[in-house]
Amino acid sequence: MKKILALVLAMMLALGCVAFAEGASPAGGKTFTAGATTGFFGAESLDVAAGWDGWIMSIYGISENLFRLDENYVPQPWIAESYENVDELTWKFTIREGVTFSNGNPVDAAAVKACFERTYQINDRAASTLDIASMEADGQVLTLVTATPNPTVINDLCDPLMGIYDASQEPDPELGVACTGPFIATAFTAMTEVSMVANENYWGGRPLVDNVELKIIDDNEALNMALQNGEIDLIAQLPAAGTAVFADAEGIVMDAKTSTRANFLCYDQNRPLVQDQALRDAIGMCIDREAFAEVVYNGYATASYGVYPASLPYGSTDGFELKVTGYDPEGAAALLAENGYEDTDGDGILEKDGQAVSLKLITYSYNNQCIQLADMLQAELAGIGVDVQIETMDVLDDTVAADDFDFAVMNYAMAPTGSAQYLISMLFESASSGNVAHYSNEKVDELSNQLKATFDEDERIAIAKSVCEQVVNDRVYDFVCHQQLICAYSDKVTGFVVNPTEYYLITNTIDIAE
Amino acid sequence: MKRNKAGLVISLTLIALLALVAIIGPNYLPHQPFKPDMRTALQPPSHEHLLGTDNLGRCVACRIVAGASTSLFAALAVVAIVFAIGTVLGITAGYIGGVMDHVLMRVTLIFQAFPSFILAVAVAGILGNGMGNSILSLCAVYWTTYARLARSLTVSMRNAPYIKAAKVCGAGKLSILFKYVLPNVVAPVLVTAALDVGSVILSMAGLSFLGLGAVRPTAEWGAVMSEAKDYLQKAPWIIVFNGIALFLVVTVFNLLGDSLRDALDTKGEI
Repeated sequence: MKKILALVLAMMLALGCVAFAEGASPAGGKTFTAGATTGFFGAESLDVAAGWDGWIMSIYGISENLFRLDENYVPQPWIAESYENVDELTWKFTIREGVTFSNGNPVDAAAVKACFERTYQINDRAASTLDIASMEADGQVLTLVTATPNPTVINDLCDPLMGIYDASQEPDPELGVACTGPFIATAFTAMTEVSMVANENYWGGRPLVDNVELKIIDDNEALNMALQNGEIDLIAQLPAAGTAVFADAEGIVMDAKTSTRANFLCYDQNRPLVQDQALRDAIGMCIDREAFAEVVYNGYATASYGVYPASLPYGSTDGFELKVTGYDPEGAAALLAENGYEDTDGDGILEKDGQAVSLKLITYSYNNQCIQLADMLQAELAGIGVDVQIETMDVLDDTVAADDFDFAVMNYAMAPTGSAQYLISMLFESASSGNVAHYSNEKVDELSNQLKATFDEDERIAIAKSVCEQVVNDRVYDFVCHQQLICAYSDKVTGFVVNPTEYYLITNTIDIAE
Repeated sequence: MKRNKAGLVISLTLIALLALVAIIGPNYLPHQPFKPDMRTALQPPSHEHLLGTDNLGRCVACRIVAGASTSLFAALAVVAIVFAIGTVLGITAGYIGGVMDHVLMRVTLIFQAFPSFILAVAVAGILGNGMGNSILSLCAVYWTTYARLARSLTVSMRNAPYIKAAKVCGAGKLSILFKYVLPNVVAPVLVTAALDVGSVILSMAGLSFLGLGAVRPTAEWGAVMSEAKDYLQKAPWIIVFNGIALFLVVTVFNLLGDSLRDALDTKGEI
C-alpha cells in the first residue's frame, strides 16, 4: 500500500514539474529580453493617451505615429505616407494603405481622427503639443487645421503622445489600447514588466523574433549582471556606471548616440529664497560641469552651458553673452557677499535679510547620476555657506505640484520632437502647465509666440537661440550636461540600432541567434 | 573568573578605542569625507588613499571614520532607549501584576507577532527618512525583549523573602521597585543590551541600505554600501572596506556582551 502511495506521489511530482516547465516558457519561438530602469521602461498603463505612457509604448514597439524622427531628428513618413501643406493652417495627410490595428481593424483617416479626439480629451499635454482647431476624415486622407499657423506640425506629430491606436474599442484594463506596432502586449504589470508577441500582420514585415520580454531592474548592478549572465539580451539606457563594466567585456557590444537628454536644475519661483538671481547664479558657478560629464558619465555626456546639445542646428551657445562660463566657487562666494549674503550668527550658513539660506533639493531616487549631481551640489554649496537638504523620491510630480521644494535636479529630453518649440512651449512659457518652476519672462513668451508663427528655418533658429540666451541667463532652469543614450547588448543580437530619440527601441528588425 | 575579567577588559578597551575614533577621528582626517574630488574618482587603495576612493573621489577610509559616529551612536541610542523603557515597564508590570501586566504582555505579543525587520521597515517607511525616525522604528522593534525579560525576572522574585521583609518593614511600592527589584533585574538585562548593540548596528545599516536611514550627506556605513553596490565590479573596495568596518564593530560589541555575561554570571537567567 505504502509503495503504491509513494509511486502515485512521485508521479504527481513529476507531472507537476512538467506542468511548471511548460508554464515557464509561454510560447515557442525566439524570445528577446531587455532590461532598463524605471525611468526608461516604466509605464503606468498601456494607454497612449495616459500621462507619458505613450512614450514608453513607443519604446516597447507597440505604438507608432504618423511620422517618426530619424537619427538627425528629421521627421520621416511612418503611418502617414505623405503630406501636403495646403496653407499656413491646413495640412493634408495620406494614411498608408493596408495598415491594421492589432485587433484587425483597418487604419484610416476616420480612425486616426477618433484616436486624436480621445487623446485630446484625456491628456491636457496634447493641446500644448499641437493645437488642432478641426479635423476632417475622407477615406485615407486626413485634413488637419491648426488654430494658429504652426510650422512644426510634422515634428509635433512625432511626439509619441500622438501615437495611433484604435479608439473605437474600450481599452482593456490590463493590455490597454490596440496599436499598429510590430509587437502586441500579452501581459503587463505596471512599472514592472511587459510580455509581448510578434504582430503577425505588421505592415512593415513580420518581426524576426516571436516574443519580447521587457523588465524593469532598478538596481544598476543587478541590471549589469542580468546582461552578463544572459538573463537579458540588452540593457536600454545603460546607467553611466555600467559603461566601465562593459567597456571591454567579451561577447557584449556597447553603442551610444548623442541624445537631447539633459540634466538640469530647476528653481521653484514660488519659493522666496531662490527668486534671487544672484543666488541662482552663484549655484550655477559651483557646478563643475566638465568633471561631472567626464567622471560621473564616464565621458558619455558633454558639459553644457546652453539649453540644447550643440549637435542640433539651434544648439550652440556661440555668440551668447553668458554670465556663467565655468566652475568658479570663489567667484560664487564673492557674488553672494556682494549681494548681501552674510553669516551673521557664525553657524557656517549664510543669511539674507535674517533668513538662513537652507534649500530643499529633490531628485529621482532611481537616477544615480542625478543623485550624484545632488551630492556634488550639496558639498560644493556647503563650501560657500549654502545649506542643502536632499530628498530623493520615485515620482517628483506631487512634490513639484505642491511647491514643496526649492530646487530640483531633473532629467528631460530637450527636443523630443526635433523642434526647439517643444521645450520652449512646455518649460519656458509662463502659462504652460509643464513650466514646473513657474518661470515667467515676457520677452521669452513673446519670442515663443514669434517662433510659433515663423516658417523660415533660419529665422526659427535665430529666434530659438535668443530664447535660449535669455533662459540661460535668467537661470531659473540651469542646464548641466547633455548625455548620450547608451545601450549594451549581447553579440547574439542583430538588427538593433540605437536611435538617439529613445522612442523606437524595439523594432521588427531585431533578431537573436539561438 | 580571571579569564572572564580579561575578556571584559579587552572588549571595553576596544570599545573605548572605537568611541575615540568615532568622536575625535573626524577632526584629524587627511581628506574631507564629503567633498567630491572628481580627479581622484574610483582609485584603488594607494599610499594617498589607504582604502581607495569612491565614485565622487572621496577617500573611503575618511568616510568610514566620519560615518562611525552615526552608526555607533545611533545604535547606542536605540539600545539605551529600549533598555530604559523596557526595563521600567517590565518591572512595573511584573511587580504590580493584574490588569496592567495582562495589557503589557498582550501589547508586546502584538509587536512580536511581526517579523522584526519588516516592522522596522514599515515604521520607518511611514515616518519618513531621517536618523531620528529610524532610531524610533528600531526602538519599536527592540523594546519588547526588554519588557518581557524584566517582567519575568520580576515575577520570579516578587515573593522572595527579602521583598517580603521590605514590605513588612513598611517600604512603599516605588521604593521596593527601585531599591530591591531593579538592582536584581538590571544585570541580565544589561547583558542582553550589550549583545543587542551589534544587531542594532546591523539593522540600522539595513535600514540605511534600503534608503530609510540617514539623511544626505552621510557616510553611514549601510547607506554607503547601498550606493557602492553599483560599483561592485569596478571598485569593490568601497563596499568591502565598509563591510569590514561593520563586521569589526559588531564583533567587538558581541565580545563585550559575552564577557559581560560571564563576568556577571547571569548565564542561568538569560
